[in-house]
Amino acid sequence: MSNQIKDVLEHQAASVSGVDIEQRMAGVKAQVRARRARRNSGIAAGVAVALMSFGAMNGVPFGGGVQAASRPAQLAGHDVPGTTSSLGYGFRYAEGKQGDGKVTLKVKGASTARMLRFAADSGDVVVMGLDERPMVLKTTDGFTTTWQLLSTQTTTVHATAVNGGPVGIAVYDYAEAAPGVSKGTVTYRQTIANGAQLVAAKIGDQGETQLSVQLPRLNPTMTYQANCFEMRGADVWVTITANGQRLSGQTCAGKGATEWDLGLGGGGFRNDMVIDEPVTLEARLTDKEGKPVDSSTVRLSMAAYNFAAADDSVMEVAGHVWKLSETLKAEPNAKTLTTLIDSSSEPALVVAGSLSPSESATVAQVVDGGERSTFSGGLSSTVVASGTAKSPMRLVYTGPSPAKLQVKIYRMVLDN
Amino acid sequence: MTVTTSAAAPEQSAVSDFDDYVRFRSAALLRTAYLLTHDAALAEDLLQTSLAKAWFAWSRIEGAPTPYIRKIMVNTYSSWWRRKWSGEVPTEELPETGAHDSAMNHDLWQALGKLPRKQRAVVVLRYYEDLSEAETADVLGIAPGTVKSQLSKAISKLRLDPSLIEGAMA
Repeated sequence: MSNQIKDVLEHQAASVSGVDIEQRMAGVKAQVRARRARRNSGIAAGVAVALMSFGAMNGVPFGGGVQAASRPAQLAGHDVPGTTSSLGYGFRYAEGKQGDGKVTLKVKGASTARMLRFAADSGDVVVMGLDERPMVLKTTDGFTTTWQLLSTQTTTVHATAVNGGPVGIAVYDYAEAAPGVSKGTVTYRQTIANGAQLVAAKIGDQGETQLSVQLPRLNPTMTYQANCFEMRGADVWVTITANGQRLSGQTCAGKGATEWDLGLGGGGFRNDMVIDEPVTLEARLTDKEGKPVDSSTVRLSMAAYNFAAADDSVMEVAGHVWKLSETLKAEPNAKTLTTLIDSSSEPALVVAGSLSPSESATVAQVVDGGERSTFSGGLSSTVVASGTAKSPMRLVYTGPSPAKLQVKIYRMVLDN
Repeated sequence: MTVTTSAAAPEQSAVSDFDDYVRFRSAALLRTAYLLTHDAALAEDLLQTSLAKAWFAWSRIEGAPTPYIRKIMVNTYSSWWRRKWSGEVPTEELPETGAHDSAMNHDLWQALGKLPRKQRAVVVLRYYEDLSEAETADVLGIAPGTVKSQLSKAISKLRLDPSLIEGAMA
């Protein structure tokens, strides 16, 4: 009975969404004003609530609190939503701009992602600045298509209406963490789009050099990870142990200040170990040799995900969920694989490379006549922007071991 | 979690913290409010009322604010809520699908809605918030033994709920 009650409560809790965060904030502040007024003047409660609610509706500022950005009712002839969401995170309107035929907006850098929406009075929008090449976004129903921007640098975004006429950009700031374990603006999501589940997580404070979580067991369906962020030049490593036994070590170098969605993809180290008893998973800052070190500038976090029920055909990229639609495999030992990616009407996420065991193998990925990227071993992903009818892609393998070239094409799940 | 006894309103610097808290954390509290009230609109109202109460103590809250606000919320629901929403009646909607499990869950949700407020709060705190008996007792301001007895009564009531018995026999 207790398990059934838990299931029902969790199911029901997940079904409630509530009002827009700004509406909630306005409601709270109206009540605060009402309570304050009752305390100070003895005005009858009902009258005070009515007056203060009227004040909130008319933009009377609240004791120095953060005010919501002024949101236009419409841009480019379409309603501008107050909020948007991506992978469970909530975003609220920050700024918007409209132009005639085209519009350019400089979006300031931030340590968390922002979501951008586009709309034209009629037809689609060509967007530049979010990817290396122009991208066509379907916008026939107004501000329905979102794209994630994650950059600490100012990004200039251009939007052009394919059919001319008014075109608009709306920018949404990060506002609410996805369900999971959060501290400040960093989060390990409880559920990844592919179905992987968070087993345990901990996010430390700055200066905390050692963290641990308890797991009921450890098996090969689980991944574990440790993250370091807010580095400020510190040169340290993280060593992970399970019940005192060293699992892995990794350098913190190269980690930046844009760590916010720590559970993206449920990524981390695949675990081969089976420990069929409670496990203490520990992460600690060390030097390269595994010797404990202190750092006042690094924040450390750790998590474990369970992939037992995960769907391998689902990926998360650019704030969207993508579903595998096609897999192409070259003949065994073939050194090249050429294909056409159809992106005439929608972007495609392409995961390509060689499954050869050789770490030193190099795969050049050629798209539209230019070399897109060259990488060593394994698979690499890239988004092919829409708007080009057929994008030729050619993989060239130069490794010593037998080539196993493969291309997987994913299509965006329209979740907005 | 302790709160000191000053009656001052939040300092300027604390106000933006409060705003951030509402933006970042209030969704989780809304879910608890919904489990208590069984009504999305009432849950939003309960949440906003609790947050407004917390605002006056914000600069004096030591440690994580969530346990403090959860306590306000549960107590508001248990007392003032009774007065404001005494007309609350669980709906008799039919399950959306004919699936047996889904119908059973629907019936259980309806049965939970018929529990007295205190018992429903104990069930939510113990089974959804995963609080211990001692933590639940602290939130509700009752003895741990009372938590145990209230939970036991709630489970007994659920087991005897006609819709669940019929559902189990179906």
